Amino acid sequence: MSGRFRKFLAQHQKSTVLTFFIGSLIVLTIIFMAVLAPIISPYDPLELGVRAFKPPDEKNPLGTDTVGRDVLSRTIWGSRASLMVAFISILISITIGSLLGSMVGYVGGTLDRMITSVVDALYAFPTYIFALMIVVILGPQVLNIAMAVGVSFIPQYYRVVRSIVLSIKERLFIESEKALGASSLYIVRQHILPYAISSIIVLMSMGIADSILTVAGLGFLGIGIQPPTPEWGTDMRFGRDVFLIGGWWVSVAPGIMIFLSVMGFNLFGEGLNALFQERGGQYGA
Amino acid sequence: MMLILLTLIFITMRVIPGDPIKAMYGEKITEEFVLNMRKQLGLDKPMYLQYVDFMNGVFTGNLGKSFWTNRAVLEHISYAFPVTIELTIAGMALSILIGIPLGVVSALKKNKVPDYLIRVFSLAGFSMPVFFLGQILQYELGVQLQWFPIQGRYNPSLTPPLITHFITIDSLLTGNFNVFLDSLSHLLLPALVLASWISALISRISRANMLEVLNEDYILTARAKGLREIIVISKHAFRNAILPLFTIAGLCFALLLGGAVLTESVFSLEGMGKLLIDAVFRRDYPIIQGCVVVFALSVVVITTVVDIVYAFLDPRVKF
Repeated sequence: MSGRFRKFLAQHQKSTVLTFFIGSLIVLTIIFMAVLAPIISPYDPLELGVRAFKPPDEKNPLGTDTVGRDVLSRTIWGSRASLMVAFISILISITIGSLLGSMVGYVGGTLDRMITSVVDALYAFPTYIFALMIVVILGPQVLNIAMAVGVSFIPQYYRVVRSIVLSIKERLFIESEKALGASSLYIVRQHILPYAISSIIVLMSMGIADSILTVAGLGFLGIGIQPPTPEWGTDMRFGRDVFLIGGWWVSVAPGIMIFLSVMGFNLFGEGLNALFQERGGQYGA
Repeated sequence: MMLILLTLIFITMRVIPGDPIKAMYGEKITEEFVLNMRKQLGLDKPMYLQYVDFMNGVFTGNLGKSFWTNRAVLEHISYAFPVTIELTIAGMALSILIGIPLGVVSALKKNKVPDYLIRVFSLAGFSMPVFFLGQILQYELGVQLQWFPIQGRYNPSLTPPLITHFITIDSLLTGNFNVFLDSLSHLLLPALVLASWISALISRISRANMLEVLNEDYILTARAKGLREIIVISKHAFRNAILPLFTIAGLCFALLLGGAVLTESVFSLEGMGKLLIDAVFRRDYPIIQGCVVVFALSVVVITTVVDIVYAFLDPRVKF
């Protein structure tokens, strides 16, 4: 064990370190799975096997689905769709939410009141139904789904970033920058956003978890990523018809993957948040 | 807030680029058909007139007619809405019953084994997709053990009375306890699935609140006065820790409504979620719009009610 690592352990609570490491482990595994999908998956996820709806055996460790595709391969490939949509949607919501939140929070006044009341109204509306509504209007293409989820998450980031900005904009160092003639844009970019960055990273990790769950939910209802593209939620939709007659193997693997990846990103975010807090940084969610 | 939300819905559904008719019917339809549909939906009018029509419709309860059944949207909703509300309320009740005690125990045993177990449980609950848990419970408790019915709202051999469309209320009103018990047993599994998710959230927040309150000076004072620990916890700490939970009740309700859409689909309940999703597949635009409006209205009503109740419970809050 290197000295640095020992110091890290000594600085933080055991549970924090554990949370962070388990979280990172899961997150890294899933990312590797997505990247290495063509190498590690035994079959083509779209290829029809010999027999449909076959229980697990040596050839197909997780069996085949209702049309004969290998469940293991589809589950591995499914991580790509989930992660891709999650990352794109988070980028959308983080960028718009934090930029809007920091600018509006900094400027304040009537603009702040107006935009905040709109965002608050949106915040009260069920995210899931809002995303669903946008997908219905735009059509269920991958980018549209990412956009729908991204837009529906904007209020969360807006609110957090705005409250951070409000808490620091009256500080003296901001005052002195103003006195030196710095522009608002400069202050927000140079002083306020870096200050909020730890909270944003934490929120991002938890946001990815939320987003994976939302995308899978849309898929399960049949308005997410369209078949035959492998996606966990969509695959579970097809496993659903056979689940109650004992065909658990079609749904269980994608279900566990959704569960694990959501938990992984949540743990990672939570661990990160605790690490930041123990170092005396900003508070996250 | 209601006006803002309705306006936002209007903007999302009408103004953003993307033609709902093309999105719903695919690209292969004729121009004539599109024009016809637009006319039928009133989408050919200028935007401000559409807005007036939309608001007018919402406030007079005239949400149009379903394309599929040609019956009023409101009629469909009057059947579906009670199902969802029943499920949501049952889910909320279970979440509170499970979540708060877990949160309090977790706070009292901070950093000990029960605390870790409860925290892992709540993390798992929050990460578990409701449709996965729903299917597992359906299979294990419903099919294998036969403890619970796996779908629907009541046993098809019973004929429940229809007054308010809330089966639980209707059966009680008519004194029909068989139907009441039967509908409760149908409700339990879906409500449990929803509760596993929300109770995780509630237990986390009540743990945090409880920990905060336990550090307050007046708790120290209470202990110094020689009060028994149980009194300190239940009278002094618990009340102050639980009250702020009300502020997230609105958020929980919104989460529950979203979760209810999925849960209904798993348990074949004919609620708002089912109505909405069926409408999506049947390309029934008026129903989709009507459902979204009703979701919005119920969120607004709940948030307002929660605010008012909170003001009564906490004398420090003034409007």
